[in-house]
Amino acid sequence: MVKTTVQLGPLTLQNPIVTASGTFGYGVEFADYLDINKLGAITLKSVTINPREGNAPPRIAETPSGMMNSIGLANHGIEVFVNSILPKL
Amino acid sequence: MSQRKQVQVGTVVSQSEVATNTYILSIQEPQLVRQVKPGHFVNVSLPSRTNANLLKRPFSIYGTDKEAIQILYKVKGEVTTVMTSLKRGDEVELLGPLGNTFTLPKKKKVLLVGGGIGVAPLMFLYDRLKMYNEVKILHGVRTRQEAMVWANLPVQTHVDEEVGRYVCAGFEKVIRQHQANHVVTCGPIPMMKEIVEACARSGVPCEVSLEARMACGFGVCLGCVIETRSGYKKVCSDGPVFDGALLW
Repeated sequence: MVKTTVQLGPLTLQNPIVTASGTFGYGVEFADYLDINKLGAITLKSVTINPREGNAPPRIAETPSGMMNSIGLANHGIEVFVNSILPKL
Repeated sequence: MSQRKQVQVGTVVSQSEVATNTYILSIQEPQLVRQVKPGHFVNVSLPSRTNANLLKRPFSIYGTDKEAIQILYKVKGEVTTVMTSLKRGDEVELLGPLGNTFTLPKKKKVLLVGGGIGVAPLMFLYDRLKMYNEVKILHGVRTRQEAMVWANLPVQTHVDEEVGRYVCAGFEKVIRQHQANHVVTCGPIPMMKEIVEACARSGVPCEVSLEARMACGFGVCLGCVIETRSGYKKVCSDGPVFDGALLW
């Protein structure tokens, strides 16, 4: 059995698979698509003290080599995150 | 736990041009056929045409035929241009079904109003409503070349250049003529806005199906939001079907 645990500062991750910032929402959105418990860690989108609506659309544009976005740190704020979203993770 | 979703690889069954630059693409994907409901959309990418697009493209469901889903699309950009080259047996990646669904009323007089290619999700809806409701469909197109042939279907086509008015013009009168008590629309924003406002004045509920540029398709990236009376909403996961009164 290969040992996959890694140490990240004070954290022990069950494996080194960590989602990149900004690509994985709050994680719960992906629950229909994969078992998020198999990941080593999830990097959240930004969470600010107060809720932020984010930028007015359009927010994304495809380019020949990728995608540009300007979401504007849209998020529900730390209170909603801690009370409503974190328990689901 | 609900059934886990994943990217499915479907196989092209057929493709036909049904009006100028307008195609019906049938893709065999039995699991998706069992899951889709009117209003849903799928995100499409073309693994056999890797240069076509990075982001998957959202398309509403036009209908189902045996074990295939059908997409009605109009050639607008690079991806839809490449899609016209798909042949029987080509593989298509499909993520879905995505989004919410239309209300399915019973015993109503329903008006479905499609502008251009916006008629696509309404035809799937019609298929599920016709048994229990009296349904009429209005389809507005800019030119006669864009008009589709609707054999044995209660579709009235408005050709703007010939009729000289838009399908949404004087819509309160249209509501009265049809005694409609449920309206659903999909098409250009100005058209839908006019219809929603006419429905509001007539006291008739109206659902709207929106499209937007999107990346993920299931509520993560927040790239597809639209402004509503209740703040920004995600077209992909709060919609694409919205109560018209929430928008205008």
